[in-house]
Amino acid sequence: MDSALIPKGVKRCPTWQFVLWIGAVSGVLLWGVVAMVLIYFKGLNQTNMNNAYGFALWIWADLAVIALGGGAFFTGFLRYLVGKDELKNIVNYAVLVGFCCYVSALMILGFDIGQPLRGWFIFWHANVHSMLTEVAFCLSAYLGVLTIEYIPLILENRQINKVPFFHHLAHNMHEIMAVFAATGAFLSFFHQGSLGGVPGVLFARPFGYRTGVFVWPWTFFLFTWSAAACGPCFTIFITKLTEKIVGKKLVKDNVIELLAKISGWMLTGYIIAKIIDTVYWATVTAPSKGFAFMDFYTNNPGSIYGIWILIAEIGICGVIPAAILITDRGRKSKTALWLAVLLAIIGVCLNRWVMVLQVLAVPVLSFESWFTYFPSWQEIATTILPVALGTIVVSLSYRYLPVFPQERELNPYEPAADDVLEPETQELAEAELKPAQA
Amino acid sequence: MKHEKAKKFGMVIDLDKCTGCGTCMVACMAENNVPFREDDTDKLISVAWMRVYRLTNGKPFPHTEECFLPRPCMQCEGHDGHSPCVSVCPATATDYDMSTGIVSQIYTRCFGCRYCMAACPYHVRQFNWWDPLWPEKMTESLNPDVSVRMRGVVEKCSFCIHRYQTATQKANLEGRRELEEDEYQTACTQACPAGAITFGDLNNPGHAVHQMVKPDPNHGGRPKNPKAFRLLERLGTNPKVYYLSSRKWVRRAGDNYIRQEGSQNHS
Amino acid sequence: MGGAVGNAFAWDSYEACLGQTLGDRWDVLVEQGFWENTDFSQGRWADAFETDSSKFEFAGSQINALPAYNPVSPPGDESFYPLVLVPYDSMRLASGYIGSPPFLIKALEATILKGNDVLVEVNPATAAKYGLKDGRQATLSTPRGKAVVKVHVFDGIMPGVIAIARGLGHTAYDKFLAHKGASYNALSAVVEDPATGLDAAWGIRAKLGKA
Repeated sequence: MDSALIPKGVKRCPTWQFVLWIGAVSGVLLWGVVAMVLIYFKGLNQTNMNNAYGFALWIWADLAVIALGGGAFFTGFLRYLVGKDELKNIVNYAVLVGFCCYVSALMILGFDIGQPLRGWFIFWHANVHSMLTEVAFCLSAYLGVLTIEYIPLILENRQINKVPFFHHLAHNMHEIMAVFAATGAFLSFFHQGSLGGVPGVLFARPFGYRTGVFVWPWTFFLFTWSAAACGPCFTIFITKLTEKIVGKKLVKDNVIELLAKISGWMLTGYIIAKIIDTVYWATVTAPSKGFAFMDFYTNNPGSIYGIWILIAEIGICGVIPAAILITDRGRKSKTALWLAVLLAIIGVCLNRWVMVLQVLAVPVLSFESWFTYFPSWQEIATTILPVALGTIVVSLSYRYLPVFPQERELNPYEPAADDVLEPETQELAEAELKPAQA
Repeated sequence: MKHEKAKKFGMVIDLDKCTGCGTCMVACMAENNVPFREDDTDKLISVAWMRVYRLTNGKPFPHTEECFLPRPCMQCEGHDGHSPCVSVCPATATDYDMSTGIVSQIYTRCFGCRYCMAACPYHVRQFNWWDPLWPEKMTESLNPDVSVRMRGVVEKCSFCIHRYQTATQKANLEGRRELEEDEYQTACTQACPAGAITFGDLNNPGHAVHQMVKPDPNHGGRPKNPKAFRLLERLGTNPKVYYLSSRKWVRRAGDNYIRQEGSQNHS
Repeated sequence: MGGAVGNAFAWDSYEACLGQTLGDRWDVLVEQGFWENTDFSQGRWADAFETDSSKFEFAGSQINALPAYNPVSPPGDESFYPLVLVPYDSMRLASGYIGSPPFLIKALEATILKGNDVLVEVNPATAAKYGLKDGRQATLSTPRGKAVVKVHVFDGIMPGVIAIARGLGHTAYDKFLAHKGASYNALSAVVEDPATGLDAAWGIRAKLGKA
């Protein structure tokens, strides 16, 4: 039915199957929309946040998706600026996933503010000293960059590309993509960093506060670094997941292994820096404010924040994936690679979690105790909403756009005879030649 | 007339006198149009600019002692006005006024991101999770000098800044530049039946607060008064609310210490 | 003060009277809120009371010699009601028939009212003995009645005693006050002192169990 839109030479699932899949995801999406409507009309009392937990699930989700979306800027950076040419076979998908991540982040930020209609105040009344201002500016600008990077891919849709203008636009945009990749990398460095700065500058919150250089706390650099390290892991993870779902290979192993290797070394560097930062914070920064390291970790009934969370974040989800990814054998083993990218993703999400929620859970006044929080269903639904939306965008893109340049080569496919003979298709195929001649 | 020195309004709360009666809270809510809800017992979603904490020394019966600790906004000066909450606001909806030392909040500019709440360790900043609603007729008792706040914005104790503005205008009309000490007092200060709260300009040697907590260079820049302390001084927030207590455990509860460390302070 | 009373009073005001009669101590009182006699040295506790136990006793041993004397126990069967419930007044709660207004209810500590439940003070030892957890609901029962309450584990209350704030459990007034908490009055009973015929109501036997 929709075969005219599907890229040439590749096989896609039957339309009914695709509609069913989109329908199922839309059900989840609808659930999120209901929660969204409740939140917009009734206000943030629909959440389980409170005056101690001003930041909660949403801010965590923001930080996490942006870290995971970091695969887009870092892969683009490697492909266009460092010149790792093989990565052109995965950069489209990295950009697409990154685009979805950033749309999610902005959407969630839209829910999270108490007066959504005043959201533009962050630009209009911008306070340049606030990390959140930097986040807002760079995030919006970078979403623009990602859109620009995504547009040529849309223009390459079989039907759209028939329009000469779009065909040339796509071509020309590809030509100057390095400029946007560089802009994206620059913007990403700052907003990933300023997201790290969000907890890092809170000098009255001893769990989050870090010393640093000039106006940037160490978390500024650690967040950028971890996003560059774990973002590609997420790109690999989503690619592998897509391959599993559609049941065919889409990207060659050498491409994945190259990205995994770079990611592994980035992760190694990051985790060393993170350990140094943690030790310095635990032995110098926090004690200077009257806090012993173990004051921040407790397993008492009011708190889930035992020392296990630090071990899980740095050890299990940091050192282990780094060790796997820097070895050739680790990257080549299917299981080990899966495990490593999964752990790295969990690790960076855990890091964002503690840097938002544990900061607020720790009692600072000596006569208070640990604060507890569990999200309401409205918060959970609105957090899943952009994930469902992203899934739909990715599904549509995969079906109708040439996302994976190596797909045809890896999956030789002879269209069925009736497909070829279909007069409409024939006609379109002829029409397709025209722009090329022009 | 010499150019007047910048003011630094501050508060001294004598915990030896505080009975925990809560009059300061009630006076504050009435003065500042703080709404109430049918169930306001979850203090974490309830708005109260002034909150009285109940501290205990943690000792078993019969050696248990209690202390009530009223907590307005600390109006942190930080380092050169770099208070924890002001610099983080992305929309410049709060600022540190160098001429009064008061941390403001512009309700109509706040868009409710709550970053300032995350920054404040005292839970002074509170969010309007609900629309403010007063029972019918009670709207007539609202204070016309203070705007009510809408759902979705952050608010906090303002040291009754509207009273300062009114008093200043009145003084200016009378041709005076300087306010008398009693011309600008906060609602909680005036309401306290035990006289536990003293309010005034910390920079003005004629004001009682100055005399009570005057910094002493021979005491590490801390007030000479051995009973004086501030909350979480070690974080560098530099609050302008001082507390007095003759009890050591109370003074020690004002900050965090690593085991035996810091016991020489507040002795 | 006016008229004959005013004329008879030798000072301009009561404050002036206090100022003169207390001398320096008055200044200290004004300034600090309390006055401490530094000359005072505390005697030995053992010598403090000339009672049989050398401790404070509400009634000395001589009272037992009175022919009609029988100690009055709080009402209730000790074996069934092992604890004693006593009322206390909170500074932030109107305890008479006049109810607390909304601002005062809002200003009430979270250790007295949570949701629609009054919190009763229970010593950690008592709480441990009866398996009660801080902040959890519990059923408070006395020979007179039952109420659902929440537990506030607090060191300041004597083991074996439950303390409940007076002034809650109203059925009258508006939604800000009515039907919140439980009233001590509805749970207490009066016993008559056989010697004097007066009411002796200083507590009631009670039981506190998991709700």
